Amino acid sequence: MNSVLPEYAELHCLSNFSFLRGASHPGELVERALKLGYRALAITDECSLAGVVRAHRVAKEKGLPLLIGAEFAVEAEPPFRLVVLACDREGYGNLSEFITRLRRASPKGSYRLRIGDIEPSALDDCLLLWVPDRAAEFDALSSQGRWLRSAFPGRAWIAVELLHAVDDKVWLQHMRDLGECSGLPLVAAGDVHMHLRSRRKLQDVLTAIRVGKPLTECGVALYPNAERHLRSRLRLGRLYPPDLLRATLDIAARCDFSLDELRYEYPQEVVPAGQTPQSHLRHLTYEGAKRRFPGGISEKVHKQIEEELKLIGELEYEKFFLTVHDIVTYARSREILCQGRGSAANSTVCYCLGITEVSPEKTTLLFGRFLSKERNEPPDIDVDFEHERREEVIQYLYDKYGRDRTALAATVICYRMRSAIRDVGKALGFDLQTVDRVAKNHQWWDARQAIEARLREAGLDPQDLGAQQWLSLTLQLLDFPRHLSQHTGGFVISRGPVSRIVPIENAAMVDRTVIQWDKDDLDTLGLIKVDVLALGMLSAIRRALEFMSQRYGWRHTMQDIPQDDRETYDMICAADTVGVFQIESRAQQSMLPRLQPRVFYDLVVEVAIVRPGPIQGGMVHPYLECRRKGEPVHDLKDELKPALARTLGIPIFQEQVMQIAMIAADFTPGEADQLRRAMAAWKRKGGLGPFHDKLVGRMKKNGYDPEFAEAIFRQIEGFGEYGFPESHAYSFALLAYVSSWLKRHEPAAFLAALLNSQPMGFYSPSQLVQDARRHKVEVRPVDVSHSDVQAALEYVPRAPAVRLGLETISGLSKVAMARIVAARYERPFENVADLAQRAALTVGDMKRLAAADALASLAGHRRQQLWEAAALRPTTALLADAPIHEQQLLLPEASEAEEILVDHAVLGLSLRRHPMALLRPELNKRRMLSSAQLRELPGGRHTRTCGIVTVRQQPGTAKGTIFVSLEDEDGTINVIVWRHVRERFRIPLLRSRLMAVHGQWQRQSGVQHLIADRLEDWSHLIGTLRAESRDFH
Amino acid sequence: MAHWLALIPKSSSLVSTDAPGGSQQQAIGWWALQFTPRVTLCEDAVLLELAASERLFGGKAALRKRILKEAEPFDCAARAWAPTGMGALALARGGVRNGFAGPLQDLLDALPLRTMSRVAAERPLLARLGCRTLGEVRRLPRAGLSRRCAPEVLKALDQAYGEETECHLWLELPERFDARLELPGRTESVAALMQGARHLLTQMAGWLAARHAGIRHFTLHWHHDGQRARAAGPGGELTIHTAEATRDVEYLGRLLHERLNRTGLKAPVSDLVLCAPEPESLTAGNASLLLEASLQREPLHRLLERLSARLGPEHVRRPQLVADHRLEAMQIWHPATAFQPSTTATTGVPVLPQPSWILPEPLPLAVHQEKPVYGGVLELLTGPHRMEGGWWDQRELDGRVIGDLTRDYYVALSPQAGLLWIYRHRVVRQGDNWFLHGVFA
Repeated sequence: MNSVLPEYAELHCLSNFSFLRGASHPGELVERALKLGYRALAITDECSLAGVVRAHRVAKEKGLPLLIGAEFAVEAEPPFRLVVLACDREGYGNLSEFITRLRRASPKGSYRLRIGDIEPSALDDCLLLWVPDRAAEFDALSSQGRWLRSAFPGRAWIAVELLHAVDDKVWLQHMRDLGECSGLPLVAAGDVHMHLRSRRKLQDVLTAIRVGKPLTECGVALYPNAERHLRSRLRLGRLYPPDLLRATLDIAARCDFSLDELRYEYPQEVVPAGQTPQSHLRHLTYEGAKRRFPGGISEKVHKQIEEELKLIGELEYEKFFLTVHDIVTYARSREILCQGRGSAANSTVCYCLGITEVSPEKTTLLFGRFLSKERNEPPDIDVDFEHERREEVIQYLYDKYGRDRTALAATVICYRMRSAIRDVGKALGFDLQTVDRVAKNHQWWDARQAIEARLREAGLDPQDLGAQQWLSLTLQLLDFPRHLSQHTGGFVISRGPVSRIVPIENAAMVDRTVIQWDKDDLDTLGLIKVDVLALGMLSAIRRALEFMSQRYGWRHTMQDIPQDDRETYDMICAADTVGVFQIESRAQQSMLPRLQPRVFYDLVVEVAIVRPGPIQGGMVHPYLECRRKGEPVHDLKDELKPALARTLGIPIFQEQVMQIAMIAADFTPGEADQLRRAMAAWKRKGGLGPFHDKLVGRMKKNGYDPEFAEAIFRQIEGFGEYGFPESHAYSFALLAYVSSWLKRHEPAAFLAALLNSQPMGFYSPSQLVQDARRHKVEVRPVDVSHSDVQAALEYVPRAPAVRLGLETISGLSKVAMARIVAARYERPFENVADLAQRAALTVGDMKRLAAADALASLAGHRRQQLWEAAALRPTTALLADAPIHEQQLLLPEASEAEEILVDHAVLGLSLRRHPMALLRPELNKRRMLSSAQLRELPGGRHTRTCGIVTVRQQPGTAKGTIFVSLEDEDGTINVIVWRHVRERFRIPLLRSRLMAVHGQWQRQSGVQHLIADRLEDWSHLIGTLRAESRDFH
Repeated sequence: MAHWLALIPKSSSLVSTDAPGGSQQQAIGWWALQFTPRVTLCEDAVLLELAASERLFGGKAALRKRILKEAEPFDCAARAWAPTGMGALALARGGVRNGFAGPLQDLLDALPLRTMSRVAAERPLLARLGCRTLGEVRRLPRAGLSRRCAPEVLKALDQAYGEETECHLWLELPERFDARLELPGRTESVAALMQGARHLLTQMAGWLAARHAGIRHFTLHWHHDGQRARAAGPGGELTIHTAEATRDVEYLGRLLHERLNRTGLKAPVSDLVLCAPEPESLTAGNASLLLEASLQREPLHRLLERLSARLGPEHVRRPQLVADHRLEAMQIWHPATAFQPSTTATTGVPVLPQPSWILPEPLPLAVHQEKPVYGGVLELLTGPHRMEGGWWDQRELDGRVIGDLTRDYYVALSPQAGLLWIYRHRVVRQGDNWFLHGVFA
């Protein structure tokens, strides 16, 4: 049967990376082409190579020859489409550069190509398929054809695309004539937009979204039929003459390029003249080692360094390490705090180079996890920088290597539930209100299946045809790429122009360019990137250290923080960690009292255990149990001990799971590596299935408990994108420890540093200030006579107190703040008029200061301040210096409620009583307990409480449970809302600012929470506070 | 005692450039001139001073009753009577209708700050000083307040409380009606343009009311804007004639709309001017709709309107071409009097042979030896022309829902019926598979 079918290669095929045109993923196209027995497939997205790596990945795995190309809409008379295919590496580079030029010359996401701009030599080593315009006159076509033939001799074809139009036969004859008079050969092509005919509806919807009209108004913008799919060879054989089909094979045979040929080199300039990369890296490593180990380098470390250098040399990664070292050195020279994260922390060389902070003396580094010869994949070095200063580092990179050699990796923005609902709904012609209602009702906790319920809520019948179409098309559209955005910090830096490896295009941000591939694509091709990331906590730590240096008179660094401090661990064990790095979240806080971290390694475990992997793998309780008993699991097999002994026999870290796969399920290192990749990507792409049988099956065969095997697999699934390798947890734990120590021993410096590094972390300034005050830190209000621009420490009369900065005042300009501080340093302000005059403040500035109660030292209570501030209207020059004497007006002081509310409105926090304290008498009447009363309450009691909602959270691992945090004058109350309660009290849960909760109080080994069974929205009480506050007479 | 009325029109997004407020406000102002010459446009309101007119209109109560009745069509958002104009305005905003119900000072003292715009402008300051009402503001020391607030605050308060005389610029009625309106955005749609035109018409009707008059003709000018304006010229104009003098906004609007629909717009329009040169005193109108001899000169649209009225709108229809792949969706029939959609996409229709006649409903064909038959066995000349679409279309056209179509069309030759446009379902179903859909003439 197969022999009678014609051979065919599809040469004109768009994937969904031709945004809002293609209706199939690249992988789907490849798999379908293979199934149909195509000899080859070209992916030719419009002016883009963004989808080719994904196609390459599947094509390579399944063994289909893949051609790399792109399609262009050419502006000419008549206009036409041009498909360009790369013959070899050189042609690929040309194509990539060609796309780069077009993309860089147009705003994000667009391009323009005029026929006059096509320089034939720019497309050397490429083949061209000309898709003529069916509506054009023959004469115009024949002159276009002649131009193509002379510009691209022997490299251009006429693509004949027969898609079941009534005039197909005529058109074919037309093309034969055109071929004859222009001298161009003919080839068959399919203008493919989807892998299966059944994607037609989705393709129509994409068209509607693209033209921005409902489908009913799209008219002929839609394709007349579904023929733009990968067609069977049987049908192609009936449609096309054999010579046109044969030509596809000739062209495919001339394109002999694979993305695997791409290699790129790191920049040369990181190696000084007279040095080789090898010698320079060795030199820097040992220099650094001397600094890291002032007492001398141990034999163990020495051996490790030599091993690493040898491997780095064999893999020729020296320049990569030198490049990262160069970035880190630059940051240090500008006193920008930075620290490597991720698997690089397993490297002693990285430690010596100052890239990472995990000492090989203190822990066992698994260098193999970072770099291994078998894996033959690029090392991954991620470095965190202070979030406010990362831009300096990025600009340094652009300056040093130039824009053609440095570019940011892309992030492919895909359709999410809400955007898919919205766009499909609009295309189907639902009115905007309905679309909005359904899309908004789709709350963040709703599972995909919940759309049906949402449709019903929005007044639609889910059985109705339109609603059904909405539902099914929305699900199809999910995860379709929508546009390219910039990656958070992954830089590609190369020796030559990046644009010959991958096209570069403009990002939305001015002066930013991104490549057309994302980090998975780079991974697939083994291309190296450096992650320049931003971390708020580093800014805060740097500032806290500066406060300490200022206070004690000598320069403090992170290395000066004492290790293994008992008091710090006591604090951590009590979950007293508001503001601290990583272990401040509610989930972490509820784990701390149970896990009781006592030494640094416990913190490493703590950081990694409150993650989806260990939670879904059911590893948390067994681990806590073992810790409680103080012994490892009793049936831990000897062979697993090297992998699991340090965590009491329970796998916590990603690499432990991989080790288990190798030891217990006979995975080769290669297979384990595939598993790791699949682990990282399955959330987005799926594909863990095949590993299940392999892993569980082999573990069972090797005598492991099936339950244990399944748990390991669940854990693998849970790692998803969030798996923490041990070294990464280690780096984070370092910051968690340092910030905890600061909180415990320098709470004032820590608070001021956090306030000055906002926005960051889990808690608002108001919550941070409340927490610090509960820890006896004195916080002083903003005042023009005392405050600097930022929060500062004051040492008299008692040291140290935190003085809030002028920047706390909303709406006050930076310039005004600076002038106030400068004028005060000359001499203190005498009165309000003196301030206004010397700091050259506008009436607006003055009113803002008064509203913030920041003139208290000059003008009495807040209303009095405002009365005085408002008197400073600009007067004529003549009168400007003449003081006006006005009789003192005594305004009644505002009520406490008003003061508190204005504080919150203007400053976002208040140093007066908590608003809940004002409501307390009313709440007592209603028998609501405060958080302080709850803390004394025995577990198991039914009770009720009320507080201001600060957080609503639904972790993916929680199966529909919502965690709500309430705040009152004494602290925080943690509420757990199970799914059934959530369903019943959806509206109060969503809307309440002030929430009353009835439920059962639970306390267990130091962890306390309220299990809700009824929720009420009491936000109106805040309203009464507001109303009362105005009745002051 | 002075006798003021404040009327606050509903706010409108359209802004007339020749008047201080919205055109509705202008219209009310002109209308109000029939009761008193002392009419002023103040902020968003119209203020009328009526003391001198009371006798002319049969006393205070009668005048009030008449004004309120005749103001009904304006559908005002708020109103109030008071001894001062500014006071009436504040009371209207505060929802107090009768400013004579108690001492004016007490009524005003209780009003919130927002009721006087001069005071409201200082609200951020005054509220934080603890003031909630006008009374509380007045209790602050006068000198201190004058230093801290714009001088207009005290002045406005004094005027409202009757402690200082108000001075207003009285509204004057122009001789000619000539009003300009800037559209909120450039538009090519007749419907959007009509919104603006209706505002101008309402304004004109107010002007006519003040003169107790109507018009026989008026002219609407529009100005093109944007890049295409160069090709399309600076703008256009339309003059509408009526048989009798009238100021019926509905009627004039309908005439204008119809004419605009037929004229069409060549480029986006940015602003409109409405001119009505010669008002005429109104006489009782002839409301007859019977066909009369004089109607022989009647333009087509009037004829269609009349025919539709007599035969029912669904029986007088006109076609619209639509760019669509589906034969039955390529033309839509509308009631002739219904307004045509402003955009008619006719470009982009594929240049393919189209049958001259289509059947109201495809006709199932008999099959003989697997070949369709219609006036003899059909010979398929060319095809298939594959047509798939309409799955999204649940609209009813001519009483039928087209729905999802998957058809292969052919041009077929019938020994007796000539060239035919026939199709069969792509996916073969049971029963009828071949259909006749159109005939090439």
